[in-house]
Amino acid sequence: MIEILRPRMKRERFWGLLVKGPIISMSQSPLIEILQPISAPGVSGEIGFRMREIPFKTHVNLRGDANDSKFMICASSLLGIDLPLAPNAVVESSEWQVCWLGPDEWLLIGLADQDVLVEFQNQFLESHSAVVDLSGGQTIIRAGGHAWRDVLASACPLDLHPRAFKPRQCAQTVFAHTNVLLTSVSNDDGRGVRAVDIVVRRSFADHVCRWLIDAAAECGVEFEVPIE
Amino acid sequence: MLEIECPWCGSRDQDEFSYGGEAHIVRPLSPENLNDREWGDYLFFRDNKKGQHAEQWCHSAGCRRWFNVIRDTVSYRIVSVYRSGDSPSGDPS
Repeated sequence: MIEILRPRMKRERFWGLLVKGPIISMSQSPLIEILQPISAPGVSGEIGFRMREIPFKTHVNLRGDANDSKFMICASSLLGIDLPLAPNAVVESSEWQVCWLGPDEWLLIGLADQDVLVEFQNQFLESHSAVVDLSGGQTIIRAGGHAWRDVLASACPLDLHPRAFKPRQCAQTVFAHTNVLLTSVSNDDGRGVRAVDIVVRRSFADHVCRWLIDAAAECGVEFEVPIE
Repeated sequence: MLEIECPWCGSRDQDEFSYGGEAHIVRPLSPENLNDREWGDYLFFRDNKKGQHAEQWCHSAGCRRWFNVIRDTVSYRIVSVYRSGDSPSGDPS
């Protein structure tokens, strides 16, 4: 998954926004075309929207019957936490973030290596289930700043109001005509949502990122280059 | 634009759903015994109700589940929503 690319030519400007900093040769992020930090204040002179990629996490799609106790026990022992059964719930163990995708479908996000995935597949063979490694296929864009709700609302039909989109919650929806999974990022005290993780397919990540940069131009946007 | 109550995810915008036509159409048990008219009826002919219409929707950009909706074709008001396999009142049929 990780490969070194040759250094890219430095571009001074990107979409009319001021771009600063050197281009770093690094792993192949799907945002390779915008691998330059962006910092462009909005009309009020401040940065209202900040985003960065959280690249190279392990993404695993898990499907199985929630009524099958063997499957549920197996999942609990491997993940260190019970699979969430409430719609759109997110639970976290020390190693995994588990998002509810459907009554029989979950997304596991972590830092596991290939050996762990093989172990998963072997363990889940005991029950009627499916384990699919999506790591190379999707990435995460973390969007925060005081205007993140407004920026996302420009192209997303989901109700992002604090009373509707709460901590430890996720929602599959569309953003800019693209299927995404939104996961809330809680404040340190666990109350209130301070940011959102946009889990998006790799081939759409560049499009989503550019859309966000464009939509956030008014309130000011900052884009950080992924750091390994 | 409709706001549809997904039986799992709750209230969401119509953008996230896809429409699946009339609900509760049962596939004939032995299609080989049907004549062309009966088979054509099953395949192609649907009610065109004015009023409450049972229809299938899929939360395709969300949990990807199919479910049923009773919608008024005059006012577009959604009268009820229930999971596949349930009857309109919400009880398993």
